[in-house]
Amino acid sequence: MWVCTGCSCLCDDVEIEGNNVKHACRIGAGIILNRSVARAEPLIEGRKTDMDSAIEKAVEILKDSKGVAIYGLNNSTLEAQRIAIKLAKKLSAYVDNGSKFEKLAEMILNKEIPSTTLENVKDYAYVIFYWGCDVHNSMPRHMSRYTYYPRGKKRQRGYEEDRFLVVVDVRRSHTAMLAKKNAVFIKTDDDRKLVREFVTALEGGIASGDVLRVVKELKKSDFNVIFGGEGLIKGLGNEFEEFVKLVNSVGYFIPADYRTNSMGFFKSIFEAGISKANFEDLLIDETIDTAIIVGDDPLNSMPFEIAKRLVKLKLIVIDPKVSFTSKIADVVIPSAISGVECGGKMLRSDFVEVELKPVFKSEWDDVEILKSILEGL
Amino acid sequence: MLRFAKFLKKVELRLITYRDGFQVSVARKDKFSDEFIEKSAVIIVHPDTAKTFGFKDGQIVKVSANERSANLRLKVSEIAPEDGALMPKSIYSCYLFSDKITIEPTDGEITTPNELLEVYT
Repeated sequence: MWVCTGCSCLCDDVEIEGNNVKHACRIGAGIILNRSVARAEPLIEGRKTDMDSAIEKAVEILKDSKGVAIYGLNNSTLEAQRIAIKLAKKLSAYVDNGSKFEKLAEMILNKEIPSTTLENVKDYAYVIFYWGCDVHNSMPRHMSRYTYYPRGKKRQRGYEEDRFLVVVDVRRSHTAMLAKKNAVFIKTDDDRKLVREFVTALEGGIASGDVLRVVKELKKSDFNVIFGGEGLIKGLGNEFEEFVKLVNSVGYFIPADYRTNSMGFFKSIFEAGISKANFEDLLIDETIDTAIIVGDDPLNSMPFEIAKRLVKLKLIVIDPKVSFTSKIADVVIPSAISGVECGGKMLRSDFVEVELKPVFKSEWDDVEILKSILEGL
Repeated sequence: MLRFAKFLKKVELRLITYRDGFQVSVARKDKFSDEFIEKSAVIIVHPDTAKTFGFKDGQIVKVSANERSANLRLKVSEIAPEDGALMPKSIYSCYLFSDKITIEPTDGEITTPNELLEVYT
C-alpha cells in the first residue's frame, strides 16, 4: 500500500501495480504516473549546474541577505519542516505556509475547539457540514473514504438514511450538487450572519427554514461535525468566537485544508515556539530581500500585484518540478516528491500522523537539501 | 434581464476562484503543457449569465482587470455563481486577481503562461 500525498487526506490504501494505480483519485494517481514529467534541474540564474554548486550558491545568497522568509513546506515531511524551522531560527527568518488555518489549528491543538478523527466521523457522524469548501475538487476522496458515503460502525444504513449532509457555500459547487436526499445546500454571502442564525436556532430562537431543518437533524445525534474550508475562514474574517460556540453545540470541527501537510506545519511551528508570518505582507512591506520557496509556486497562487514583488528578491526554489516561480528564481534545487521518492511523516487534516511509504528512492530530498544549506551556514 | 443586454460589448462581473481537481492534477504534472492551458485559461459563467449576455460555451473572451487582460476560454456551468464568474486557481486567476472583472468577446488566441511570465519579469 502507498500513502498518497495528493492532499491532506493522505489516503493509505493506494495500490500500485506497474502503471495501474488503484483506489487513488485523479490527483493521487497523477503524482505517481507523471512523476518523471517536468522535473526541475539544478540551476543558477537559469544556467544548468550540479546539486553541490546550487546548494553552495544558495548558502552564499543567504549569508549576504538582510531579511529571509521560508515559504511553502506543505508538501514537505514533518522532518523537513523541522529542519526548515531550525534554518529559520539560524537565519532569524520568517516562515509561512500560505494557509489561513493557523488560528483554528492552534485552537484545536490547545483544545479550545472540539475536534475528532476522520475514522470517528466515518463510524459515528450523522450531520456532516461542508462549509466554504468544495472537497469534491480539493480533496476528492474525503467524502467517499471518510465521511458521507462510507458505512461506519454506528452508521450501517448508508448515506441516504444514516447521514445528513449540509453544504454551505457562495455558489453551487460540485460538492453542493451532491446535496440531494437527506441533505441541504445553503447559499450564503454572509457566513458570520449564518453562524449567528445557527447559534440562535440551537438556543431555540427564530431562524430561516433551512437552518431550522438542519437544527432538527442535529438534535437527532450527539455526533455531528463541521468541515470548514478557506471560504469559511474568509467569511468569518478572523472572528471565531461565535463559530466556536456553534461547534460546541454541533459537536466537532475538522479543518478542510487541502494542503498536504499544512497541519504538520502548524504543529511544528507551535512546538518550536515560533509564529507564522504572512509572506504576502512581508512582500508588500519589503521586509525581506531573500526567500526560500519549498514545494510551492507563489506565482500560481498569489495575486499579481503581490507576486510581482518576488522578482525583486533573491529567490531560492526547492521543488521536484519546474514551476512558474522556478522560472524567475536565482537558484533552483530539485528535490524528491514526498511520499513517492522519500519517506517521513505527515499529519492528516485531522492531525493524525501518517508514515509515508515511498516507492522510489531519491538521493536529494527536502531534508537533505535543507540540512546541507544549514550546515553550509 | 432586458433583451438589449445581449448587445453589451463588455460585461462586468465579480470574480470568484476555486480549486478544480482536474486543473490541480495537470498543474502537478506540467505547468507548461497544453493540458495546463486547457484547464487553467478558463472562465466559467452561469447559464443564466451566458443567456443574458449572449455568451457561448467554448468561445474565447478577453478578460480584463486592473489594466491587465488575458484571453481565456469561456465555459458555461451551474457551478458558477449567478452574479459572477468563476476561475480555477492558477497563474491566470492570480494575474487577473480582482473583485471585478470585465469579459468581452475577442478573436485572439488564448494567452499562454509564458506570455504572463513576461509581464512578471
